[in-house]
Amino acid sequence: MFFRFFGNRRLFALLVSVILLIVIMGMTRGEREGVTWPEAAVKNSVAWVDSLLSTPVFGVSNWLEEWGEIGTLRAENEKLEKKMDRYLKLKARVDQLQQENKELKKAVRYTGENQLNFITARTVARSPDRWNNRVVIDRGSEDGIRKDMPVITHEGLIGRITATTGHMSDVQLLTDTGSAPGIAAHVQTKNGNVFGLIEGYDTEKKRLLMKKLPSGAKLKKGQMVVTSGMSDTFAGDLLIGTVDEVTRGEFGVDQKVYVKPAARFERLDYVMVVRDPTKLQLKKHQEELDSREGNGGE
Amino acid sequence: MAAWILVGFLSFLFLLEGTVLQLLAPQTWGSDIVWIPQLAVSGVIIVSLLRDRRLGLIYGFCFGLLHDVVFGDAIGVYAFTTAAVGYFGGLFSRQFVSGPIVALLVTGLNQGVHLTMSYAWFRLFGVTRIGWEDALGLHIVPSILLNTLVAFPVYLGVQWIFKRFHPHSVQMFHSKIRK
Repeated sequence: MFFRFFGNRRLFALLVSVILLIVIMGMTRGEREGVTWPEAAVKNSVAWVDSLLSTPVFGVSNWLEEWGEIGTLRAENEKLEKKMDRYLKLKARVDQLQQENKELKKAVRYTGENQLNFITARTVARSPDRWNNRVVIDRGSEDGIRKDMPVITHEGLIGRITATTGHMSDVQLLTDTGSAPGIAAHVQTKNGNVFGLIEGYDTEKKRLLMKKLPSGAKLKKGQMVVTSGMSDTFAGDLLIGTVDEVTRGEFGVDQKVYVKPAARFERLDYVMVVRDPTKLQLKKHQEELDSREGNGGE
Repeated sequence: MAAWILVGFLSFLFLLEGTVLQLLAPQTWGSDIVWIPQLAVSGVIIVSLLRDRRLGLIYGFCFGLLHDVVFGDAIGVYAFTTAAVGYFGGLFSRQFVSGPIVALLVTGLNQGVHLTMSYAWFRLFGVTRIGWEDALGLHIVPSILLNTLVAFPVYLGVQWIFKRFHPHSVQMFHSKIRK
Protein backbone atom coordinates (compact mmCIF):
# COMPACT_ATOMS: atom_id res chain seq x y z
CA MET A 1 0.00 0.00 0.00
CA PHE A 2 2.85 2.29 0.91
CA PHE A 3 4.55 1.63 -2.42
CA ARG A 4 1.37 2.21 -4.34
CA PHE A 5 1.19 5.63 -2.75
CA PHE A 6 4.64 6.44 -4.12
CA GLY A 7 3.57 5.03 -7.44
CA ASN A 8 0.96 7.78 -7.80
CA ARG A 9 3.40 10.47 -8.70
CA ARG A 10 0.93 13.28 -9.09
CA LEU A 11 -0.49 12.86 -5.60
CA PHE A 12 3.00 12.57 -4.22
CA ALA A 13 4.10 15.78 -5.96
CA LEU A 14 1.05 17.60 -4.60
CA LEU A 15 1.78 16.42 -1.08
CA VAL A 16 5.43 17.43 -1.27
CA SER A 17 4.56 20.85 -2.66
CA VAL A 18 2.01 21.50 0.11
CA ILE A 19 4.61 20.57 2.72
CA LEU A 20 7.19 22.79 1.01
CA LEU A 21 4.70 25.65 0.91
CA ILE A 22 3.98 25.39 4.61
CA VAL A 23 7.68 25.19 5.49
CA ILE A 24 8.71 28.14 3.31
CA MET A 25 5.76 30.23 4.38
CA GLY A 26 6.41 29.54 8.03
CA MET A 27 10.00 30.66 7.55
CA THR A 28 9.32 33.84 5.63
CA ARG A 29 6.14 35.22 7.13
CA GLY A 30 5.92 37.96 9.72
CA GLU A 31 8.71 40.23 10.82
CA ARG A 32 12.06 39.59 9.21
CA GLU A 33 15.27 41.45 9.89
CA GLY A 34 16.48 41.81 6.32
CA VAL A 35 15.75 40.74 2.79
CA THR A 36 17.96 38.18 1.05
CA TRP A 37 19.90 39.41 -1.97
CA PRO A 38 17.95 37.58 -4.72
CA GLU A 39 14.74 39.01 -3.32
CA ALA A 40 16.31 42.45 -3.13
CA ALA A 41 17.46 42.22 -6.76
CA VAL A 42 14.00 41.22 -7.99
CA LYS A 43 12.29 43.87 -5.87
CA ASN A 44 14.65 46.62 -7.03
CA SER A 45 14.28 45.85 -10.70
CA VAL A 46 10.50 45.47 -10.58
CA ALA A 47 10.18 48.72 -8.63
CA TRP A 48 12.30 50.48 -11.22
CA VAL A 49 10.09 49.32 -14.11
CA ASP A 50 6.99 50.09 -12.03
CA SER A 51 8.17 53.65 -11.50
CA LEU A 52 8.52 54.10 -15.27
CA LEU A 53 4.90 52.97 -15.66
CA SER A 54 3.35 54.73 -12.70
CA THR A 55 4.73 58.23 -13.26
CA PRO A 56 2.65 59.04 -16.39
CA VAL A 57 -0.37 57.26 -14.89
CA PHE A 58 -0.29 59.37 -11.75
CA GLY A 59 0.09 62.45 -13.92
CA VAL A 60 -3.06 61.63 -15.87
CA SER A 61 -5.02 60.71 -12.75
CA ASN A 62 -4.05 63.92 -10.97
CA TRP A 63 -4.98 65.95 -14.01
CA LEU A 64 -8.40 64.28 -14.20
CA GLU A 65 -9.01 64.87 -10.53
CA GLU A 66 -8.14 68.55 -10.82
CA TRP A 67 -10.36 68.90 -13.84
CA GLY A 68 -13.31 67.46 -11.94
CA GLU A 69 -12.80 69.78 -9.02
CA ILE A 70 -12.96 73.13 -10.82
CA GLY A 71 -16.62 73.64 -9.89
CA THR A 72 -16.00 73.36 -6.18
CA LEU A 73 -12.94 75.58 -6.26
CA ARG A 74 -14.76 78.89 -5.95
CA ALA A 75 -16.59 77.95 -2.76
CA GLU A 76 -13.40 76.48 -1.42
CA ASN A 77 -11.52 79.66 -2.20
CA GLU A 78 -13.86 81.76 -0.10
CA LYS A 79 -13.57 79.34 2.76
CA LEU A 80 -9.80 79.35 2.48
CA GLU A 81 -9.62 83.14 2.55
CA LYS A 82 -11.53 83.16 5.80
CA LYS A 83 -9.24 80.51 7.14
CA MET A 84 -6.24 82.51 6.00
CA ASP A 85 -7.25 85.44 8.21
CA ARG A 86 -7.42 83.16 11.17
CA TYR A 87 -4.13 81.60 10.18
CA LEU A 88 -2.34 84.96 10.07
CA LYS A 89 -3.48 85.74 13.58
CA LEU A 90 -2.32 82.33 14.68
CA LYS A 91 1.00 82.76 12.97
CA ALA A 92 1.75 85.94 14.82
CA ARG A 93 1.04 84.11 18.03
CA VAL A 94 3.24 81.15 17.01
CA ASP A 95 6.11 83.45 16.14
CA GLN A 96 5.88 85.03 19.51
CA LEU A 97 5.76 81.67 21.27
CA GLN A 98 8.64 80.33 19.23
CA GLN A 99 10.78 83.24 20.21
CA GLU A 100 9.86 82.72 23.82
CA ASN A 101 10.56 78.99 23.53
CA LYS A 102 13.99 79.63 22.06
CA GLU A 103 14.89 81.97 24.84
CA LEU A 104 13.69 79.58 27.48
CA LYS A 105 15.58 76.70 25.92
CA LYS A 106 18.70 78.80 25.85
CA ALA A 107 18.13 79.58 29.50
CA VAL A 108 18.12 75.87 30.41
CA ARG A 109 20.91 75.10 27.89
CA TYR A 110 18.87 72.62 25.84
CA THR A 111 20.17 72.34 22.32
CA GLY A 112 17.81 70.88 19.76
CA GLU A 113 20.34 69.13 17.55
CA ASN A 114 18.29 66.09 16.75
CA GLN A 115 15.73 67.50 14.41
CA LEU A 116 13.42 65.33 12.38
CA ASN A 117 14.03 65.19 8.71
CA PHE A 118 11.70 63.94 6.03
CA ILE A 119 12.60 61.83 3.03
CA THR A 120 10.10 62.40 0.26
CA ALA A 121 9.30 59.39 -1.86
CA ARG A 122 6.84 58.38 -4.49
CA THR A 123 4.67 55.30 -4.40
CA VAL A 124 5.41 53.12 -7.38
CA ALA A 125 3.12 50.15 -6.85
CA ARG A 126 0.52 48.79 -4.54
CA SER A 127 -0.09 45.15 -3.83
CA PRO A 128 -3.01 44.13 -6.08
CA ASP A 129 -4.72 42.08 -3.41
CA ARG A 130 -6.20 43.71 -0.37
CA TRP A 131 -5.56 40.81 1.99
CA ASN A 132 -2.59 42.79 3.17
CA ASN A 133 -2.21 46.51 2.67
CA ARG A 134 1.22 47.19 1.33
CA VAL A 135 2.72 49.93 -0.78
CA VAL A 136 6.08 50.08 -2.52
CA ILE A 137 7.97 53.41 -2.57
CA ASP A 138 10.97 54.43 -4.63
CA ARG A 139 13.47 55.28 -1.89
CA GLY A 140 15.50 52.75 0.03
CA SER A 141 18.31 52.16 2.48
CA GLU A 142 20.76 54.18 0.37
CA ASP A 143 18.58 57.24 0.91
CA GLY A 144 18.70 56.68 4.65
CA ILE A 145 15.49 54.73 5.16
CA ARG A 146 15.55 52.03 7.83
CA LYS A 147 13.04 49.43 8.96
CA ASP A 148 10.23 50.61 11.27
CA MET A 149 10.39 54.29 10.31
CA PRO A 150 6.97 55.97 10.24
CA VAL A 151 5.56 57.09 6.89
CA ILE A 152 3.25 60.10 6.57
CA THR A 153 1.48 62.12 3.92
CA HIS A 154 0.74 65.81 4.32
CA GLU A 155 -2.50 64.73 6.02
CA GLY A 156 -1.17 62.37 8.64
CA LEU A 157 0.41 59.06 9.51
CA ILE A 158 -0.18 56.25 7.03
CA GLY A 159 2.09 53.40 8.09
CA ARG A 160 5.57 52.14 8.70
CA ILE A 161 8.47 50.68 6.75
CA THR A 162 8.60 46.89 6.91
CA ALA A 163 11.48 46.12 4.55
CA THR A 164 14.10 48.08 2.64
CA THR A 165 16.41 47.28 -0.22
CA GLY A 166 18.87 49.62 -1.88
CA HIS A 167 16.42 51.77 -3.80
CA MET A 168 12.96 50.81 -2.63
CA SER A 169 11.00 50.09 0.53
CA ASP A 170 7.83 48.32 1.53
CA VAL A 171 5.31 50.28 3.55
CA GLN A 172 2.73 48.53 5.68
CA LEU A 173 -0.33 50.75 5.94
CA LEU A 174 -2.24 51.35 9.17
CA THR A 175 -5.27 49.73 7.56
CA ASP A 176 -3.49 46.37 7.42
CA THR A 177 -5.64 43.87 9.28
CA GLY A 178 -2.80 41.43 9.78
CA SER A 179 -0.62 41.18 12.83
CA ALA A 180 1.52 44.25 13.36
CA PRO A 181 3.01 45.62 16.54
CA GLY A 182 0.85 48.30 18.12
CA ILE A 183 1.70 51.97 17.83
CA ALA A 184 2.09 53.96 21.03
CA ALA A 185 -0.16 57.02 20.82
CA HIS A 186 -1.55 59.90 22.85
CA VAL A 187 -5.00 61.36 22.93
CA GLN A 188 -4.67 65.08 23.53
CA THR A 189 -7.22 66.08 26.13
CA LYS A 190 -7.63 69.25 28.11
CA ASN A 191 -6.04 67.65 31.15
CA GLY A 192 -2.95 66.45 29.33
CA ASN A 193 -2.10 63.45 27.21
CA VAL A 194 -3.73 60.04 27.64
CA PHE A 195 -1.63 57.09 26.59
CA GLY A 196 -2.94 54.16 24.54
CA LEU A 197 -2.05 51.71 21.80
CA ILE A 198 -3.27 51.73 18.22
CA GLU A 199 -3.94 48.09 17.47
CA GLY A 200 -5.75 47.06 14.34
CA TYR A 201 -8.32 48.47 11.98
CA ASP A 202 -12.05 48.00 11.72
CA THR A 203 -12.73 47.52 8.03
CA GLU A 204 -16.49 47.92 8.39
CA LYS A 205 -16.43 51.23 10.25
CA LYS A 206 -13.20 52.36 8.57
CA ARG A 207 -11.74 53.37 11.91
CA LEU A 208 -8.49 52.57 13.66
CA LEU A 209 -8.80 50.86 17.02
CA MET A 210 -7.05 52.42 19.98
CA LYS A 211 -6.98 50.21 23.03
CA LYS A 212 -5.74 50.07 26.60
CA LEU A 213 -6.71 53.62 27.51
CA PRO A 214 -7.19 54.18 31.24
CA SER A 215 -10.86 54.14 32.19
CA GLY A 216 -10.62 57.35 34.19
CA ALA A 217 -9.67 59.49 31.21
CA LYS A 218 -12.40 61.74 29.84
CA LEU A 219 -12.37 61.24 26.11
CA LYS A 220 -14.57 63.10 23.70
CA LYS A 221 -15.30 62.99 20.02
CA GLY A 222 -13.00 65.25 18.06
CA GLN A 223 -9.93 65.08 20.26
CA MET A 224 -6.65 64.67 18.40
CA VAL A 225 -4.67 61.44 18.44
CA VAL A 226 -0.91 61.70 17.82
CA THR A 227 2.00 59.28 18.05
CA SER A 228 3.81 59.11 21.35
CA GLY A 229 7.46 60.10 21.63
CA MET A 230 7.97 57.34 24.18
CA SER A 231 7.96 54.66 21.50
CA ASP A 232 11.47 53.49 20.67
CA THR A 233 10.91 53.48 16.92
CA PHE A 234 8.36 56.15 16.09
CA ALA A 235 8.93 59.88 16.26
CA GLY A 236 6.48 61.72 18.51
CA ASP A 237 3.64 64.08 17.65
CA LEU A 238 2.74 62.78 14.22
CA LEU A 239 -0.96 63.23 13.60
CA ILE A 240 -2.89 59.96 13.38
CA GLY A 241 -6.49 61.12 13.49
CA THR A 242 -9.33 62.21 15.72
CA VAL A 243 -11.42 60.38 18.31
CA ASP A 244 -14.70 59.25 16.78
CA GLU A 245 -16.36 56.93 19.26
CA VAL A 246 -15.53 55.86 22.80
CA THR A 247 -16.52 52.40 24.05
CA ARG A 248 -15.57 50.16 26.92
CA GLY A 249 -12.59 47.89 26.48
CA GLU A 250 -12.54 44.12 26.27
CA PHE A 251 -11.60 43.64 29.90
CA GLY A 252 -13.91 46.21 31.42
CA VAL A 253 -11.11 48.11 33.10
CA ASP A 254 -10.00 50.14 30.10
CA GLN A 255 -11.50 52.14 27.27
CA LYS A 256 -11.46 51.49 23.55
CA VAL A 257 -11.60 54.33 21.07
CA TYR A 258 -12.43 54.34 17.39
CA VAL A 259 -10.03 56.75 15.73
CA LYS A 260 -10.93 58.40 12.45
CA PRO A 261 -7.67 58.44 10.47
CA ALA A 262 -6.56 61.87 9.27
CA ALA A 263 -4.88 60.58 6.13
CA ARG A 264 -6.55 58.94 3.18
CA PHE A 265 -5.10 55.59 2.26
CA GLU A 266 -6.27 55.43 -1.32
CA ARG A 267 -4.50 57.04 -4.25
CA LEU A 268 -1.25 57.59 -2.43
CA ASP A 269 1.23 59.47 -4.55
CA TYR A 270 3.90 61.40 -2.66
CA VAL A 271 4.66 60.21 0.84
CA MET A 272 7.27 61.21 3.41
CA VAL A 273 9.40 58.95 5.56
CA VAL A 274 10.17 60.47 8.94
CA ARG A 275 13.76 60.05 10.01
CA ASP A 276 14.26 60.73 13.68
CA PRO A 277 17.96 60.78 14.62
CA THR A 278 17.16 60.30 18.31
CA LYS A 279 15.43 56.99 17.67
CA LEU A 280 18.30 55.81 15.48
CA GLN A 281 20.77 56.60 18.24
CA LEU A 282 18.52 54.83 20.71
CA LYS A 283 18.44 51.72 18.55
CA LYS A 284 22.22 51.73 18.20
CA HIS A 285 22.58 52.17 21.92
CA GLN A 286 20.28 49.24 22.61
CA GLU A 287 22.13 47.03 20.14
CA GLU A 288 25.41 47.88 21.84
CA LEU A 289 23.95 47.08 25.22
CA ASP A 290 22.58 43.78 23.92
CA SER A 291 25.89 42.72 22.46
CA ARG A 292 27.71 43.66 25.66
CA GLU A 293 25.28 41.61 27.70
CA GLY A 294 25.68 38.72 25.30
CA ASN A 295 29.46 38.81 25.69
CA GLY A 296 29.23 39.10 29.43
CA GLY A 297 27.04 36.04 29.65
CA GLU A 298 29.46 33.79 27.84
CA MET B 1 11.09 33.16 -29.62
CA ALA B 2 7.41 32.62 -28.86
CA ALA B 3 8.28 31.79 -25.28
CA TRP B 4 10.09 35.10 -24.82
CA ILE B 5 7.23 37.07 -26.34
CA LEU B 6 4.82 35.24 -24.05
CA VAL B 7 6.96 35.90 -20.98
CA GLY B 8 7.16 39.56 -21.97
CA PHE B 9 3.39 39.77 -22.41
CA LEU B 10 2.68 38.14 -19.06
CA SER B 11 5.26 40.35 -17.31
CA PHE B 12 3.59 43.39 -18.81
CA LEU B 13 0.25 42.21 -17.42
CA PHE B 14 1.90 41.69 -14.04
CA LEU B 15 3.25 45.24 -14.05
CA LEU B 16 -0.19 46.62 -14.98
CA GLU B 17 -1.70 44.95 -11.91
CA GLY B 18 0.34 46.94 -9.43
CA THR B 19 0.32 50.32 -11.14
CA VAL B 20 -2.25 51.30 -13.76
CA LEU B 21 -5.09 49.08 -12.61
CA GLN B 22 -4.64 50.23 -9.02
CA LEU B 23 -5.95 53.62 -10.14
CA LEU B 24 -8.87 52.17 -12.08
CA ALA B 25 -10.06 49.71 -9.44
CA PRO B 26 -13.24 50.67 -7.50
CA GLN B 27 -11.55 50.54 -4.06
CA THR B 28 -9.31 53.43 -5.09
CA TRP B 29 -12.36 55.65 -5.39
CA GLY B 30 -13.75 54.84 -1.97
CA SER B 31 -15.91 51.83 -2.75
CA ASP B 32 -16.26 48.87 -0.40
CA ILE B 33 -16.09 46.52 -3.33
CA VAL B 34 -12.56 45.40 -4.07
CA TRP B 35 -11.23 44.30 -7.41
CA ILE B 36 -8.06 42.29 -7.14
CA PRO B 37 -6.68 42.52 -10.69
CA GLN B 38 -5.06 39.23 -11.62
CA LEU B 39 -4.35 39.56 -15.31
CA ALA B 40 -1.15 37.53 -15.17
CA VAL B 41 -3.05 34.66 -13.54
CA SER B 42 -5.67 34.85 -16.30
CA GLY B 43 -2.83 34.80 -18.82
CA VAL B 44 -1.33 31.69 -17.24
CA ILE B 45 -4.70 29.91 -17.25
CA ILE B 46 -5.26 30.74 -20.92
CA VAL B 47 -1.75 29.64 -21.90
CA SER B 48 -2.35 26.37 -20.13
CA LEU B 49 -5.73 25.99 -21.82
CA LEU B 50 -4.42 26.68 -25.31
CA ARG B 51 -1.16 24.77 -25.04
CA ASP B 52 -0.21 22.41 -22.33
CA ARG B 53 -0.87 22.03 -18.63
CA ARG B 54 2.82 21.45 -17.85
CA LEU B 55 3.63 24.82 -19.41
CA GLY B 56 0.84 26.35 -17.32
CA LEU B 57 2.34 24.81 -14.21
CA ILE B 58 5.80 26.23 -14.89
CA TYR B 59 4.57 29.70 -15.89
CA GLY B 60 2.21 29.73 -12.94
CA PHE B 61 4.97 28.89 -10.51
CA CYS B 62 7.34 31.56 -11.90
CA PHE B 63 4.80 34.38 -11.97
CA GLY B 64 3.37 33.38 -8.61
CA LEU B 65 6.84 33.48 -7.09
CA LEU B 66 7.44 36.90 -8.64
CA HIS B 67 4.22 38.16 -7.04
CA ASP B 68 5.25 36.69 -3.69
CA VAL B 69 8.66 38.34 -3.74
CA VAL B 70 7.47 41.74 -4.91
CA PHE B 71 4.26 42.18 -2.91
CA GLY B 72 3.89 39.29 -0.52
CA ASP B 73 4.07 39.07 3.21
CA ALA B 74 5.26 35.50 2.96
CA ILE B 75 6.82 33.60 0.10
CA GLY B 76 5.05 30.59 -1.33
CA VAL B 77 1.30 31.24 -1.38
CA TYR B 78 0.99 32.69 -4.86
CA ALA B 79 3.66 30.36 -6.25
CA PHE B 80 1.58 27.42 -5.07
CA THR B 81 -1.87 28.68 -5.99
CA THR B 82 -0.94 30.06 -9.41
CA ALA B 83 0.92 26.87 -10.32
CA ALA B 84 -2.06 24.78 -9.19
CA VAL B 85 -4.48 26.89 -11.19
CA GLY B 86 -2.19 26.79 -14.22
CA TYR B 87 -2.20 23.01 -14.12
CA PHE B 88 -5.94 22.85 -13.45
CA GLY B 89 -6.72 25.09 -16.43
CA GLY B 90 -4.95 22.70 -18.79
CA LEU B 91 -7.17 19.81 -17.72
CA PHE B 92 -10.16 21.57 -19.26
CA SER B 93 -8.73 21.65 -22.79
CA ARG B 94 -9.38 17.89 -23.06
CA GLN B 95 -13.01 18.20 -22.08
CA PHE B 96 -14.34 21.09 -24.12
CA VAL B 97 -14.12 22.63 -27.55
CA SER B 98 -11.84 25.61 -27.19
CA GLY B 99 -13.38 28.97 -28.00
CA PRO B 100 -13.50 32.39 -26.38
CA ILE B 101 -16.60 31.66 -24.28
CA VAL B 102 -15.26 28.41 -22.89
CA ALA B 103 -11.91 30.08 -22.27
CA LEU B 104 -13.57 32.87 -20.29
CA LEU B 105 -15.69 30.44 -18.27
CA VAL B 106 -12.64 28.36 -17.44
CA THR B 107 -10.74 31.52 -16.50
CA GLY B 108 -13.54 32.67 -14.21
CA LEU B 109 -13.75 29.31 -12.50
CA ASN B 110 -10.01 29.11 -12.02
CA GLN B 111 -9.83 32.71 -10.80
CA GLY B 112 -12.38 31.77 -8.17
CA VAL B 113 -10.32 28.78 -7.10
CA HIS B 114 -7.18 30.91 -7.04
CA LEU B 115 -8.67 33.74 -4.98
CA THR B 116 -10.36 31.42 -2.50
CA MET B 117 -7.24 29.32 -2.09
CA SER B 118 -4.89 32.26 -1.57
CA TYR B 119 -7.32 33.87 0.88
CA ALA B 120 -7.56 30.60 2.80
CA TRP B 121 -3.77 30.30 3.06
CA PHE B 122 -3.40 33.91 4.18
CA ARG B 123 -6.14 33.48 6.75
CA LEU B 124 -4.57 30.27 8.00
CA PHE B 125 -1.21 31.95 8.53
CA GLY B 126 -2.71 35.07 10.08
CA VAL B 127 -1.61 37.45 7.33
CA THR B 128 -5.14 38.78 7.03
CA ARG B 129 -8.01 38.95 9.49
CA ILE B 130 -10.85 39.71 7.11
CA GLY B 131 -13.82 37.46 7.88
CA TRP B 132 -14.93 34.99 5.23
CA GLU B 133 -18.28 36.69 4.55
CA ASP B 134 -16.55 39.96 3.72
CA ALA B 135 -13.82 38.22 1.80
CA LEU B 136 -16.32 36.33 -0.32
CA GLY B 137 -18.83 39.14 -0.89
CA LEU B 138 -16.56 42.14 -1.24
CA HIS B 139 -13.30 40.70 -2.53
CA ILE B 140 -13.68 37.34 -4.24
CA VAL B 141 -16.98 37.52 -6.15
CA PRO B 142 -16.45 41.03 -7.65
CA SER B 143 -12.88 40.09 -8.51
CA ILE B 144 -14.01 36.94 -10.33
CA LEU B 145 -16.53 38.90 -12.42
CA LEU B 146 -14.18 41.75 -13.34
CA ASN B 147 -11.23 39.48 -13.98
CA THR B 148 -13.35 37.31 -16.27
CA LEU B 149 -14.36 40.40 -18.25
CA VAL B 150 -10.80 41.65 -18.52
CA ALA B 151 -9.59 38.17 -19.46
CA PHE B 152 -11.08 38.60 -22.95
CA PRO B 153 -8.37 40.96 -24.27
CA VAL B 154 -5.80 38.77 -22.52
CA TYR B 155 -7.23 35.75 -24.37
CA LEU B 156 -6.98 37.60 -27.68
CA GLY B 157 -3.40 38.62 -26.92
CA VAL B 158 -2.25 35.11 -26.00
CA GLN B 159 -4.01 33.61 -29.01
CA TRP B 160 -2.42 36.19 -31.31
CA ILE B 161 1.03 35.36 -29.95
CA PHE B 162 0.50 31.64 -30.56
CA LYS B 163 -0.83 32.18 -34.08
CA ARG B 164 1.87 34.62 -35.01
CA PHE B 165 4.89 32.83 -33.58
CA HIS B 166 3.78 29.21 -33.29
CA PRO B 167 1.28 28.54 -36.08
CA HIS B 168 1.97 24.81 -36.13
CA SER B 169 0.95 24.06 -32.57
CA VAL B 170 -2.32 25.97 -32.70
CA GLN B 171 -3.36 24.20 -35.89
CA MET B 172 -2.56 20.86 -34.37
CA PHE B 173 -4.64 21.73 -31.38
CA HIS B 174 -7.68 22.64 -33.45
CA SER B 175 -7.48 19.62 -35.70
CA LYS B 176 -7.30 17.39 -32.65
CA ILE B 177 -10.50 18.90 -31.32
CA ARG B 178 -12.46 18.66 -34.56
CA LYS B 179 -11.88 14.99 -35.16
